[in-house]
Amino acid sequence: MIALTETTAITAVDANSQTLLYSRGNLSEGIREDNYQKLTVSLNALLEELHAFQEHTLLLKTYFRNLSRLAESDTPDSISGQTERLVSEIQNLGGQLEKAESVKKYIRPAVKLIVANYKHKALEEELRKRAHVLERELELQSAYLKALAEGLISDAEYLKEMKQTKNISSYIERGPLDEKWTKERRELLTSKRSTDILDTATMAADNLKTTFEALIENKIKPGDFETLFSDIDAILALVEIARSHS
Amino acid sequence: MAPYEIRDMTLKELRETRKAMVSWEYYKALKKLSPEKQQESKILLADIVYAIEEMRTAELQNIREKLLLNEPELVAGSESLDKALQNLKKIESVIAAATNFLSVVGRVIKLVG
Repeated sequence: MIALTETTAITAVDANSQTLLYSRGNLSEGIREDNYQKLTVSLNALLEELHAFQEHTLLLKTYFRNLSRLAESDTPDSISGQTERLVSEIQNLGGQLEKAESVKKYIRPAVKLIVANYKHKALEEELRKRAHVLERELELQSAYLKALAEGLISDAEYLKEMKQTKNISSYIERGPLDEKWTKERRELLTSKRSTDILDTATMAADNLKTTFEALIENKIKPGDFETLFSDIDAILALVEIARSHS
Repeated sequence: MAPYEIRDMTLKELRETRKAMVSWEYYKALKKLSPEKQQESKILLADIVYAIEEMRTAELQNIREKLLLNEPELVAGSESLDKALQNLKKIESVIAAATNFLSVVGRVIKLVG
């Protein structure tokens, strides 16, 4: 997840920097400075948002690890106190992320959850208290991932188009060819279609919710909850492919 | 259209224009223009990239009224830009349509850095 946000940040910064380089040309120093300031300022909001999303993900991971400990603990009270604080922090960050317009359109209505009976009563109590809140926060993670994929793909396609133009022009125009030309051309022509990446990212993001619902229905153990985040690793791998070919 | 749909349409158009403006076809056409026109195109691209980020991060509640007020011109501008992007060889039409669309976008979000 962290890698995903970092990849998104790097791709966005690269797209932004490539625009600066591409549009630099014979512009006057005044216009160059103006462009530099404008494009740098425009990235800050995205980078702040990505940082908040990273924090949100880390807190959720910590929460589910605590849930796992709670299921095995003989002294659940101290863990319950920690989960309460964690959930409050998760909600605070979630409130910030929810404001992002690109995310809103992906947020689906709340699902009614019926918590199953657990042998471990502290765990059952925790889920009864906070399942509805966690359902919303996981929905937010899923929505944010979809929005992230959308922006990332647009930036990656833009960078790819730029590289393609550079690759074609360096072949056609006079002058020596860069020794990396063949490798760059191969990468450009064999890169994965971005729509496939978006579909897979969307599917993996939806699995977040499905796994949580399985936990609520006592179909998986909290200790197995790491699988929830392994879906994200699938996205990461694809994003890395997209990035290496962009 | 609902405000969020107008915003999404605008963002999509800006992103497509950004991509088209760094394509091989556009590059070939650009080289045939005067240095002044080439400069204009490069500044335009930087403005479009800036507009994408501003539009993406603007809170809908802050731009809702302006989106609705400018909807007809945003739709018309987007359609005419779409048409211009079909033929990148006519680069001056692309620059004119993109400049026009961006000026309407500038009524919705602040485009001066």
